[in-house]
Amino acid sequence: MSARLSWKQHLTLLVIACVLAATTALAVSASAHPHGEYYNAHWGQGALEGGIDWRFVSDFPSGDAIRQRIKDAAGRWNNQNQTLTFDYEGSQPDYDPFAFSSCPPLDKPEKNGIHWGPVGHPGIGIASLCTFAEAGGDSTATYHSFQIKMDSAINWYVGADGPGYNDIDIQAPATHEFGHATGREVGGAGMGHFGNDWDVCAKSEAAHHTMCESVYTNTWWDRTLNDHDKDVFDGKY
Amino acid sequence: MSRRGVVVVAAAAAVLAAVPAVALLQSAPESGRRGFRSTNRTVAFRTTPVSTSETRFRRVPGLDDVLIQNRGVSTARFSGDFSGGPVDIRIIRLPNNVLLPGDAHFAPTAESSSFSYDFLDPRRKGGIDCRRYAVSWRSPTGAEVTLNHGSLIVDYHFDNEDRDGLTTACVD
Repeated sequence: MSARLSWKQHLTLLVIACVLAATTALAVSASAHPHGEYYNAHWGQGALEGGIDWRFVSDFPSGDAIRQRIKDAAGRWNNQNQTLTFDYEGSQPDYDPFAFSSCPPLDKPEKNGIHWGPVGHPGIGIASLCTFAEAGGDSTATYHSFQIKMDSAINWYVGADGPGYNDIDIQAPATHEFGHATGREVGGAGMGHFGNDWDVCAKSEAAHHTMCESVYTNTWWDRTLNDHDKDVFDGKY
Repeated sequence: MSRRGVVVVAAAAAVLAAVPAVALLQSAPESGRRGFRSTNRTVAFRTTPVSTSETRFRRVPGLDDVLIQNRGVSTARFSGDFSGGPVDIRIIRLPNNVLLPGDAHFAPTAESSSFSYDFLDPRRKGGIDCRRYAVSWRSPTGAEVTLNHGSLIVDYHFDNEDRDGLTTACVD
């Protein structure tokens, strides 16, 4: 090897340096931003044959508007061309109240309910997923039911149009909770969320994703799904 | 270019490649102080015994998901009554950030079975934050240790509105 390098060799070394730097930056970026690896296809173990039926629990307010906003929230996930859809059983009566924190009996796997009750400050909505006991750990568990509870302590905005300055919109957090009901409850920044300080949670309508740790309540933003909300869901079912 | 030049370029490449990774490492300060106006307190507690002989840190059931919404730093106080072997206690901000000043160690005896320890989350973030805290524990010797009862208190400054008048809410 010569003691001196040609300009081509200089150039080669520089290219190597740049590739090394870029590769590391990409690896770091990917590890901080693993959009697509949050959860497996928990419903039906990847062989889901139809939609997931759900109803309101009878203590949920009966107003048409508030119930329509919940249906609209489910509809955001139904419009993604996936086998998994949340199908409202409108022809059936509401479920009689049952404890949000308890899983329904395994012989009633379709008892998926939207509850109304205290969630606990500062949370305003919560989802809970029940698994078959024999299904194994979090990553492979098969779900047999989901429950969602919206906070009864809040004076919700239930209009179809955009919420205003002092409004606390119910549709945005409900859309978020249905996202958990797709099976997304582990990973990410915790509980399957995008971290609030990630770029996908930046403060703008275009950037802020519904599955961030918090939702905007006086904007339209989180009523709809953004790219990575869809990406993570896409292909699971 | 001389061989020394080759070495310099190679070293520069390595440094350049390492910079993003190093930037992500958060080292704890040797010392420091933080001040904030606390407006809210959230308490979690458990009154029934739970035991572990795990030598790896695990979350304590019932003290493992305290949600707050705030801006700036926050503090957490763990208190517990123990029996059995020694125990290491830490508070984590989910998913895996260990609060300052670090792990607390306690060896219960017949005369001294309770202890309390304060932790600091120094995170200073410009925007509004949703944070989840959990008490995590382990048996450093593998001997069984029992938490007879305990609590986690988190103090913080609640905030949900930014400068543009946009409000956010934490969701589980």
